[in-house]
Amino acid sequence: MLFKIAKNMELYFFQNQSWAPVDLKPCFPNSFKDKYFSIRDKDGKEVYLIESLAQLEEINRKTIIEYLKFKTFRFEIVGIHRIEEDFGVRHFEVKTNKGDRNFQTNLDDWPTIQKDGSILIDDLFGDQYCIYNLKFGQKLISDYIS
Amino acid sequence: MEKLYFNKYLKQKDGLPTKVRQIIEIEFKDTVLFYAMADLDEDLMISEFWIILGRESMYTSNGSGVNKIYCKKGSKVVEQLGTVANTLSICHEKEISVCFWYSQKQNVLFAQLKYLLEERLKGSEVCISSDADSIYQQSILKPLMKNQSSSDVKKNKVVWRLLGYLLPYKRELILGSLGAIFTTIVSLLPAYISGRLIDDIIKPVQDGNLGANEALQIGWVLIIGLTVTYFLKEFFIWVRLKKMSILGEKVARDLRTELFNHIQRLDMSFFANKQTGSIISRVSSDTDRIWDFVAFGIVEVSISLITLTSLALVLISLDMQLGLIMTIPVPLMIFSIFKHGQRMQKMFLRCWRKWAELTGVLSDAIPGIQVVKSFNQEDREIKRFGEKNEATVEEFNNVHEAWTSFWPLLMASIHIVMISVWVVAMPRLVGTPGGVGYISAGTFVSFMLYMTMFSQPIEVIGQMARMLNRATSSAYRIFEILDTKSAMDESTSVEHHKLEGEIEFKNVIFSYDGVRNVLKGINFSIKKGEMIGLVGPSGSGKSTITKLINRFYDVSSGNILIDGKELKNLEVGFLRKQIAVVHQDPYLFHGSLIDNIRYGNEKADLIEVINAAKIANAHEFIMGFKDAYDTVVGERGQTLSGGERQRISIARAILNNPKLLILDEATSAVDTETERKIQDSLDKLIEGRTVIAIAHRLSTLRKANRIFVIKAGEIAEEGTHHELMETKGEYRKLQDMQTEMFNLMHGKEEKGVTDVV
Repeated sequence: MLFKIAKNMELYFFQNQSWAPVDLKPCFPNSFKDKYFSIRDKDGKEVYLIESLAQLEEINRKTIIEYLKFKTFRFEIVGIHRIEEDFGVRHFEVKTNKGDRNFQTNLDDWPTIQKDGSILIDDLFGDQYCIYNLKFGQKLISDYIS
Repeated sequence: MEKLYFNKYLKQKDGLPTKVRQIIEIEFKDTVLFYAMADLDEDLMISEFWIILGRESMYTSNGSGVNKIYCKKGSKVVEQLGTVANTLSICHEKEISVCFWYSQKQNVLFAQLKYLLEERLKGSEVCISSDADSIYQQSILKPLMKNQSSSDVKKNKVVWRLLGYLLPYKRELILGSLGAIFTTIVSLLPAYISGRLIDDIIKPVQDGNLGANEALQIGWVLIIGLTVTYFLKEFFIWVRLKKMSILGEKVARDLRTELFNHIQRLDMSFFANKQTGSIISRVSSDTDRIWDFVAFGIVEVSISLITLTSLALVLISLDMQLGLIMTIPVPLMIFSIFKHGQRMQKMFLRCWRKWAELTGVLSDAIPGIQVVKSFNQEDREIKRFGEKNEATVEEFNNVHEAWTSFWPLLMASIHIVMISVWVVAMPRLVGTPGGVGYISAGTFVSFMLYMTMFSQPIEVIGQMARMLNRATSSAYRIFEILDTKSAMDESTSVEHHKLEGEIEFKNVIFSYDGVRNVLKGINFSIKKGEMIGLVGPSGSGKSTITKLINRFYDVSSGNILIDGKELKNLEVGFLRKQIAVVHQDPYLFHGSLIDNIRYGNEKADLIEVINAAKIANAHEFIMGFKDAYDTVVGERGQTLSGGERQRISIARAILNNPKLLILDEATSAVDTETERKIQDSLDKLIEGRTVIAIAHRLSTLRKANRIFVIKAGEIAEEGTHHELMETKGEYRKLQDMQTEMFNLMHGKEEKGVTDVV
């Protein structure tokens, strides 16, 4: 076993006969989501590079997949109640897979279409929202996708 | 105001629930110092969980009950950062005492909480200068406030606000408006006269009720009247066009000036968040569209509205039945134009976005043309530009598709109304004169002529809706910038302080985006006349320290003292005049060398310029140019080499006679020989001044009194060159690495020579 996760989502890596806390950084978080993950120690130095999840043993793969659910978590928008433009910001009221949420984007920051066809929205606070399938509000967002 | 933002925008409480505060204060007899809200649970569901730091203890609450948290000695705070979800936990050995889950929205508060908890666990006293509610509200709202310009301004006020720019030019506005009103009135006369010509002259003559000579006399008078009418109409059109074009130009000029002045006063974070192309297009093309709107749009729309109203009144007074057939559908048509306008507004915003992307490619590729060519990437840039160009055209085509489909439909409905008038009028026209419903030929001809006039204003409004939408979206983009407030509070920055050169950083924390802390509690003090070297890896925060001293940004927390005075109390312009920065890639403006050297000190004597250039080792190469100091350099000083540009910028700094000098990688982009020349000029420049020098090449810091090694936003090491070499830490590692590199290159050079030999 190479990896284990603590309850606070701290990832541990087994190296030199001991467990050490590490960080996992996807090299291509938007373009190649399941390839190349850099495992970095507390000083930010790379200690291991996962080329793809498939290369890992079953037990490690499961751990990393579990960890990625936290690490790369983004709210998934399932419905849009309202989009309103105000001076300087675009205001969204949405229903996500984790509950209702309001967020704002810069007027110049429009949703971007990802390689897999999903839509990614970055808000002013650094939170990210993705859209795969909308149950409602498709027409509202279509004005802002180009 | 904060409450307004929380209520209007955020699905989050604007403060700690009163009940929770009361429990802490009454039951636990503690004072709330700081609190944060964890907005996720461990299943990453959106929730609300409060973490409160009291003067005595730490508490958690789900909004109703309150739990006191006990931390064992030797506990540590662990932060786990994800793309969106994060955790902050307090751990003791392998046991996790408590863990909080939160999104990026709460990140600033949790970064502060982490710092405070760590301080408390170390046994240090926690000092917080502001009250808990202010910290909570301002930390959450900071990113929003930075982008939000004015929450009170409603979108529909844009047009009124734009029209407000006409007020200083009342004379032009009144003359132009009178021209427009008289044009409308005069335009109504020919149709009336034509009707009278038929009913009062032609028909009586044909019926034998009027003599030919008499008829001819009246006819001539009417024709003269018609001629005067047409001349008057053209005169009033001339007055209107002339006055309104000039008025439009003046309004566009005012907007451009106000916009450019405002942009110059905005802080650096604004420029970090906006693309250059987008800002440029707002000052240039957006203001141009406003001119178009003011010069033609406003008047055309006004004339059309006046004409429509007047025509409706005239038509109804001429014939109630036919008049109502004509006028009743008009509100429907105008409503459809309004709805069409709303659609167009959104489409235009998409267009401007594409347009900004297109100009963004230009502002990338043109200044970077040297890189493009050196990597042989012309085809790639052509393809990139082509793609953006295509996308822009596609978006504009959608706009054209929308309005070109709408317009014929609108015109078709007008024609249907006209045919309806014919259908109703025909039996009445051929009826018995004087009978019920009879309509005379002259009246009907007048009616027909008025009907042709009816379609024109509706058509104009249809077309003007497009111009109005372009103008309002342009105005919106302009006002967005005009309403952007500087993120820096300069209300207390009034003191004109003459710099001595002492600098002190007290626990300075700074974040560009309000999320990631670039500086994490920096402490240092620099004495007057001292030279300090800042070394460390890229992105460690070295340049950020110098930007904070220049007050390009305000600290997120902590204090910066200049000569013992709070930096934020010093007048920014006066402060910056006494600080000179020599950058790695100095920017030269389009203009002569003398203008560039005198950029910070326009009134400097010519001899001072020459002396500064001599000290900067620039005089000799300048005199080598045909036009010497009058040589015009390109947009970014492209006609000079990197070393030459650097020496011009040093001359500029010398002429400014700064008390504090910041050298930001001043010699890293040049060859060894040029570096020697620049270093020589810098040595002269640093005499008698406080100097902060950022350098990758440690050899350039040989004169530094002290060196700070910055690593990940913290001072990892501090000391003289010899002290740091002895500690065998980061600095020693960097020094050894550079020595090794030098030896390697030196060896290679020797080998190269041997090979050639």
